[in-house]
Amino acid sequence: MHLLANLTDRELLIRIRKLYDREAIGVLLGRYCHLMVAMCLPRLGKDATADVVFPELVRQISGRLEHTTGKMNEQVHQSVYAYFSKKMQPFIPPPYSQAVRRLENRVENAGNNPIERQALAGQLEKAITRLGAEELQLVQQFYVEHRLLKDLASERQTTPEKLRSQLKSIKKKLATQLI
Amino acid sequence: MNSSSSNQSNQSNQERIIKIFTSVRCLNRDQLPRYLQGQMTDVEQHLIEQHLVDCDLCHDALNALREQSLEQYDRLSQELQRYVLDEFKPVEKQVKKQVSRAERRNMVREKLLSSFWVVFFIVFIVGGIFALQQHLKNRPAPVLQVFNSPPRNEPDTPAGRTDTSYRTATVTPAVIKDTIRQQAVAAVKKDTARVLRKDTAGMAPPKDTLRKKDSAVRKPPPPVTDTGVRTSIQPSVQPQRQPEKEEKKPAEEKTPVSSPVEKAVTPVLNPDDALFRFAMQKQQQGDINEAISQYKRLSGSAKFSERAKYQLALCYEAKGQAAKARRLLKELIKQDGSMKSQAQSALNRLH
Repeated sequence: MHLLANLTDRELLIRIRKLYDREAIGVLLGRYCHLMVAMCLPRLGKDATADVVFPELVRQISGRLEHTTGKMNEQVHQSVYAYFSKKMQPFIPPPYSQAVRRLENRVENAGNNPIERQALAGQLEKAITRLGAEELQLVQQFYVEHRLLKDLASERQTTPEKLRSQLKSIKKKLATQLI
Repeated sequence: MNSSSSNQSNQSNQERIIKIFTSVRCLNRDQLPRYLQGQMTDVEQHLIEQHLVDCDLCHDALNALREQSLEQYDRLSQELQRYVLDEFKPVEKQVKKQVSRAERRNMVREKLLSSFWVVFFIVFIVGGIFALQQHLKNRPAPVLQVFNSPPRNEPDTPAGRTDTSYRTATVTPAVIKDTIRQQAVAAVKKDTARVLRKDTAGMAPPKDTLRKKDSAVRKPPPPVTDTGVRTSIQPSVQPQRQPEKEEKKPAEEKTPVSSPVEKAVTPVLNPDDALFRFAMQKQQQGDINEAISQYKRLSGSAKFSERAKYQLALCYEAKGQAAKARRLLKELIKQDGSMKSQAQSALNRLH
């Protein structure tokens, strides 16, 4: 159990897929159970008590983990959403998410290789220059200058939520350009 | 200086751009309330916001927690953590015990199987050895081979003994010789009287001298029907042919013997004769198959071929193979030999 706790989500998922390791399922669910609780809290009530909801969610998620291909957080989010909306749909990661995930994998695989990292950075810089002025400014301020969303939102007289969704769409654009 | 500083700033910019797509772990149980309560440094907060851009789960969880009490969140998340740990804990001792029990069961099964095969092979081998021993014990081959072996001229044959008798005496072991002699004497004793009584009617009248010998041997007939004595009585049955042979026989055969039975046995001890007797004995004992095989071996003998064929026919009759018997008897009748009349009567009986 202690050794498995050191593994990344990806490694644990591979372990579950290949070996059907119940211990790995336990570790992975343990990492996300507090987020599950937080997400479910406003939806709990008389009909859906914690004693009913959480075991069922754990059962559903653990059952899907063997076949899942996406990220664990996306899987948990989709499961909770589907449970409360009573729509039992199979989890299909959105296409933008797939593009982002591929680029994230490339960055991860580049690791500490300076040449690879430099090449990737060059490609990203080029892609960023193709963005609109407002988007470019937002990326610069958020990712390069490390400014908080709250500050940026107050500066632009908007909400952090809107900025978040804006940044999300920018990431998607960049990812689709590079892949 | 300026170029190096610009390089460093370039590198840091590149690293920061790359961090746009560097995956960050989801918020842990402590980070959630800390972020909500604003108890984080700017760097930490920015890192979480960078993650929140991508992660809907953390974003929704934070939004949900803003309206809920953190106590309930703490309690429920601890309980769920415990539940998950209990549900997916490592294999317990009971399961291990069950596994070990199954393994033990398998081991016992394998042991039983292996012991069964060992016992089976031992029984098989012992059975094979026993069968081989029985086969070797019942095989009459050593005696017969000796008698059937072609006659050899022994350099130191004593004068006054026939070649045949000497050969038999020297080649076969003493024990075998004695037993065969005893068996032959017994067979002669039994069969002489019976054959004389049965077969004399259809045969030519024997010589006076032999009749005397036969009368001395005559005894009450045995219950088994057989014509085996013809071997010893052949001289009396076929008086026309035998004189030539008798003339050739050395003086020793003609010398007076203490008893008439021994007198009848002594001249018969040649290989074919012994084989014929052996076959007759087997026939009397009821070992028809063995008798048949021995008679078949005599088919090449000039002296015994006819009689062997007749006896073979009788054996087949006894065995229930009437067709074979009939065929042999017909052959005998066609040959028009000394056994023709007997063969004819036997054939009539078969029909």
